[in-house]
Amino acid sequence: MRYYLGLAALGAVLAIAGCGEEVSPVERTTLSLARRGPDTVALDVRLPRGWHTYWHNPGESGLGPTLEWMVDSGSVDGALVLPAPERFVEQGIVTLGYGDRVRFLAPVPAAAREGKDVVARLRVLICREECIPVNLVDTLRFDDDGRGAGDDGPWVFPEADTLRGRAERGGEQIRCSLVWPHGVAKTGGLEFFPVPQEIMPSSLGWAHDGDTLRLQVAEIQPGMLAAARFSGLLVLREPSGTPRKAVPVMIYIEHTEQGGAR
Amino acid sequence: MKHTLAAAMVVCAVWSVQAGSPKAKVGEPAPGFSLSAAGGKTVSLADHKGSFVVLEWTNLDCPFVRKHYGSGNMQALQKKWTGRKVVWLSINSSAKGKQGQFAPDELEKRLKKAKPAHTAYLLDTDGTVGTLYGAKATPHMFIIDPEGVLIYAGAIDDKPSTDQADVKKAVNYVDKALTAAMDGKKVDPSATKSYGCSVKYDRASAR
Repeated sequence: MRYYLGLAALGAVLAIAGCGEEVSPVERTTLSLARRGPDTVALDVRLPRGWHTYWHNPGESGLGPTLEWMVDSGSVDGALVLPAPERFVEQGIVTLGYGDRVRFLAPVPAAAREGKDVVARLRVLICREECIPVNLVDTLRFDDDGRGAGDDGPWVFPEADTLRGRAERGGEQIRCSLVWPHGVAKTGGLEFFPVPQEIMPSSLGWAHDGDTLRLQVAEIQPGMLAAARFSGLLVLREPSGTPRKAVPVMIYIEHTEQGGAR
Repeated sequence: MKHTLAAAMVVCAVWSVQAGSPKAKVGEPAPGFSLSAAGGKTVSLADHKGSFVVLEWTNLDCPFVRKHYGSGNMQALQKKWTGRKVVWLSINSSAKGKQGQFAPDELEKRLKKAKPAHTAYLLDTDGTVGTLYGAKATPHMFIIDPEGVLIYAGAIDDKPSTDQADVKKAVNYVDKALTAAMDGKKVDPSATKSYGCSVKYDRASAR
């Protein structure tokens, strides 16, 4: 009798606590907006355990995020600055993105500077065994001027996407190049440290040309999809030469014989 | 300076990827295969020599696939080209227990609901043919000419999204390639980057 009473009590407790009620991964994916200084908004995305979302170039599957600001006249596309992604390999398929949590950055929209609250809609694709498109919505409060923001993350520009990359086919080679952001290069100095020799010693060549770093990947076969991921550390220096800030960066460039660089 | 350099070197890496090492390459003979179709019949690529053949990697639960079936885009494309004697083979490489793999009765219901106009729906549960062709995503499209040469591999169109509204704004690469090839013109582009959900291969069959 006491055993059955115990079971009944346990059942009641579980029912009250809501145990066994499944919360969908969509509901467990959250967005939180906050100003980070006068010009920048941080978009913090949290994902359910085991799920991931994607960089703007997702790799062999997936979809990058997009941002819209909802304003009086409708909606306007927002620029997103994404941090360097992680590399995921699932069943041999390589993707680039973020697991657990990620912070995207965006310029403060004009409406927020005009004393209005602005709603952001961030569209992300989240995947684990399956993929689900998710619309995340949060409001940027006009009275959040960012002064209360602590130094809790890598939110100072430049981030990875301030580097531009290009890939061109030339004969049997693909020429990739990275171009420094001019404003940054003029602050005192900028250095980039790739170590290509670790991966493809025989087919990579590097050359500096002013603000541009060039990479050549040889022996591209017809129809081959080729991609290069550049990882490294940008070191910004004061005019005196003193290192001011080191920023990890990565840029992903790909090229198809017919389709050109993306 | 040296310390900074040394620290920087630790985080640096560069790699290059080609789309796996599949045996299927644009401009070369398409690898042969035989697969069981929904309903039990066996379909071989060799049976269709002399015809244009479209291979469509699919997973009916993938939001990118749903975009094309939900909008009617895929069915319209299938109907248009099978009406011109093109063989259209939809291939599902989802492993047992993975998303997109259904029991026969459930598959029958799902296909009835989707109303495809393909030639056959093929089951590649062990991922052999998907791996052979380097199928990465759903949808991932391949076109083979009547001589058996692979003439297109890649995305269905140029709008990588899950939004049905994008279908009308998209350049459909498959339609463009088949139109060009049937007119005896060069297929351009003949290779694009596919987009979609990853193919749900069995871990053991992954390359």
